[in-house]
Amino acid sequence: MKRFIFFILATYCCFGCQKISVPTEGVTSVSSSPEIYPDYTSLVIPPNIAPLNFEIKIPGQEYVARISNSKGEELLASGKIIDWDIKDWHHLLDDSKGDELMYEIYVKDESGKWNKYIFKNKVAEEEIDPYVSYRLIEPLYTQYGNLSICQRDLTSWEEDIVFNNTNHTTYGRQFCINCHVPRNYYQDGASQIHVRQHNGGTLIMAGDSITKVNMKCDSTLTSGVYTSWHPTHDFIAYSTNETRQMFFSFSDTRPEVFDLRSDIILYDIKNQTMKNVANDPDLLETYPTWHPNGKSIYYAAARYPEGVTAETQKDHYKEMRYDILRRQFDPETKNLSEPDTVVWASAQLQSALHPRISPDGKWLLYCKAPYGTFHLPHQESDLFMTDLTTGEERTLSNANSENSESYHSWSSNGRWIIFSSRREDGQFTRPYITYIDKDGIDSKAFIMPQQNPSHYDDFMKSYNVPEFFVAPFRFSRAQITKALEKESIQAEFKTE
Amino acid sequence: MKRHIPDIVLTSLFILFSFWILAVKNGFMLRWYDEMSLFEPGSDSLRQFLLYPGGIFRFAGTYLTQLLYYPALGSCVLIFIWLLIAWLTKIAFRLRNASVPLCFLVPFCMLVSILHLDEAYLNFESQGYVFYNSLGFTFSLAVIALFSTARRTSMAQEAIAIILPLLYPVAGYFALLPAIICSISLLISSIKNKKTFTIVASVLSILFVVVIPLLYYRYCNGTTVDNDYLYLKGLPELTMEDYDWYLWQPFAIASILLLILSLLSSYDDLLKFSSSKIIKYSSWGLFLLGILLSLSADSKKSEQLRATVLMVNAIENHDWKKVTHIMSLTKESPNYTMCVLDNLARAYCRMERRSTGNMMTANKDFRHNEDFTINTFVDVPVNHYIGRFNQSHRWATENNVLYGNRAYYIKYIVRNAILNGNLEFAKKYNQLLMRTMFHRQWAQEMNKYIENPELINTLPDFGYLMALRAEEIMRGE
Repeated sequence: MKRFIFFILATYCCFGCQKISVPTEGVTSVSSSPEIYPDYTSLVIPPNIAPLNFEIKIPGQEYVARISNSKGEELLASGKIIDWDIKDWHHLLDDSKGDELMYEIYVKDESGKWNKYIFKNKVAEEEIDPYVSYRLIEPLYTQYGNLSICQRDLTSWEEDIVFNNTNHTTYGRQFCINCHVPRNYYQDGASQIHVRQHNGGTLIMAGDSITKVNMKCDSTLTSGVYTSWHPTHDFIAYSTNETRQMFFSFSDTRPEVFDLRSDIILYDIKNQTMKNVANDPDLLETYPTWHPNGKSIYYAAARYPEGVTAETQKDHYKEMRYDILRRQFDPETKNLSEPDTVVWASAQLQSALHPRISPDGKWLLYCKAPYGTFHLPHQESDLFMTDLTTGEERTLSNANSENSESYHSWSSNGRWIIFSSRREDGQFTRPYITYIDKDGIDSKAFIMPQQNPSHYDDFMKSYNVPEFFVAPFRFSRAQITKALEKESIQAEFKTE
Repeated sequence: MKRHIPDIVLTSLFILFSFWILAVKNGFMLRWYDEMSLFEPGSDSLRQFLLYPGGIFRFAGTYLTQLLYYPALGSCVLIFIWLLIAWLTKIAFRLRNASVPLCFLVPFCMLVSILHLDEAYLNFESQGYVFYNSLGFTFSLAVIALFSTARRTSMAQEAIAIILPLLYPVAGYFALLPAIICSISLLISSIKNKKTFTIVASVLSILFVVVIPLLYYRYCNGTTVDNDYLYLKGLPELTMEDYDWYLWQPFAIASILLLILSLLSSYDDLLKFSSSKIIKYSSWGLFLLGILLSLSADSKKSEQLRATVLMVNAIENHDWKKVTHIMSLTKESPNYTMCVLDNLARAYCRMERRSTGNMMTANKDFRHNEDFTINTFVDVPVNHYIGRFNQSHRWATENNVLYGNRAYYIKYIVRNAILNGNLEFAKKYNQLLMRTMFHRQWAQEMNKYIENPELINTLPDFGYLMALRAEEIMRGE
């Protein structure tokens, strides 16, 4: 028995400790980049990101991969699926900030010859926020199933569920959850979630408490929808949207989502009151976002074309084009100035949505497509940035793809953007990350890494509303459930 | 040997009857239940199931549902599980001699729970339904059998009764039911033998039955359980409304039967029920009642539903003539759904279409609402075959989202995507079918078109489908 155990252990040691050796003789260098999935070639990567595992798509018998930096430190892996050791990976990246990583992929072809492919990635100096929150949702139209708001640790493989809805086939008890949006990247631990239908309300989670608020009243179109926390004061700007969907039997884009009407309100957390920010009856105002100094609010607005009303808008949906407007805001008096136009997309026959401002206040990031209120199904939707100091607009040509890009968020240091893209298959939204340097130049975008590179092939849910967090979410399921079971506080509307 | 003849007769009768009523009489319905299910292997899928009490049985049930692709095979596996239930019942409650027919009462309940499924199957989350209830009761009975055979002096019974409720996150209702049965048994035993520890154990077990599900609901992160009817989670997701009562009955009866058997076996020394003549005749009577109830449950399915399922199966196989033939054979007056499917088939057979008028019946109850059944039987296939691919896709997607992925809908999603030219998207969904036991053959055929788009115009009925689509385009959005 002892001999048998020894034999097993010895065999394990032999195979388990087998050193990976890089082929040196008879190796042919190939000039083209290797075909790997996901495409992690020619990137700028955060120094604290989880390992970028990939599958080598080149046919072959054996595979070896090596990463090395300019200091001669290296990391090795073998096999068709390159799964980097997470500790060694982080060690290498920690020592490679600002440096270039050289990747060598060795593939032994059918004839036994080794071919070497090379590509490089740059490691940025600046780290990425360690957490991102998103909702996982199946592709759907009007019905929904299991929804979960998750939090992913970008430095590892851990994904935790922040909150999820329940199996809702018990008639009348279904509820939808969305928009887990933090204040200031969760630096002070405040965030909010919308819950709709059963036990519905907006959960505002700040300090040690969770408050459930109902913003729907006679003076508002709906409850709050798109959310933006004021960076310095206890306010949250919400859009209120009467949203509809249209389905087409024959055109490429399946649903067209549009607002019949929309406005923007300001919710005062302390006083639990609301007031209008933008409610021009001739305009559709939505997607509010604050400047990091809290002294101005930006939002998207569209005018009904001549002769078109809310009710007839569905016949003119291709004429609906949003511009990005700005109003100055005094946090002490809550007074707003008249709006001015920052991005006049409609003049370019485009529709600009989702304005988001970089933490240094310099860049305005948004997505544009030829028309519409909701760009996710619009293949042409791309990311753009305007320099707020010069007014110059540029496209994120390295990050954009042939398919739709939308819902983008800045990291707290303004160097990284995470956004939703449908470039994989045109249907499922995946989170992509790109680096923005100090001159506003974007890098090639890469998909959020997973331990199993084929995760996205098999995963049948979309990643929605990705937002960076600097710290892990700190409320428990029990606390959220208890808050949901309470009656909502009715926010009072002030007409000042 | 002579003593075992009644057991052999009983078992044989049960097997033959079950096989006949399932595989022979309702084989096409079983095949339909497989179409309305989809097993997705992998850790993501398993994790999703495990976020629900009793999810492990649903996962296993969904896996086994694949076997219904061949109804005879699936039926054999089901019958095997029921025989296991019968055997465990015999051990758990020490049934012998005259009371042996009582072993088959729970299996009959499970059989009825499958036979009485009608249009309701379309609109509750039924992944694995055909198998998971039986698997759940097997688990419950296995635990009761273990309890029953454990030595009373070793405190094993007390330990089992206390531990069982802790299995609620894994087994749901199927952990709580045996926990209650074991607790009651312990209580009766403690009254007889006056053991304090036994009393404490049974009270603790009941307390855990009450508290553990509540704690689970509050604190288990990511669970998809709702606190509505928390203690019944693991059983099918049905409401407590009138229209769902008939769906609950087999599970309620099975549970009550087990409780009664437990009480009877606890007092066996007094009642001597195993050898009682009353029990002998009544247990055979109950066995025969089980057969009659099964026949009655099966007869409740309308001929229209049966015909519609057959028509939809024929459409799957592009056998348009068969669709019209089924219509002609139906004795009951056809409903609106059948007329629409028949007209679709007539179009493809270049036959004159019949006027349907406005034949939709008034909305029935929630589970039998014709607005809903039309969704499955008309909106998905008919929109596809007249070229309204986006509409067909939409309804297939909506139903998948609501009730879980189903092979039937996935097939239409793949076909619609191929014909819309969204090949990457088609490939993604086709992969789901590639990973199943038997639908992969269909998926491999579709893969041919995905990898070689120039072959798309060789899809069955492609030419006529495009002609119908052109007509629809002329009609506009």
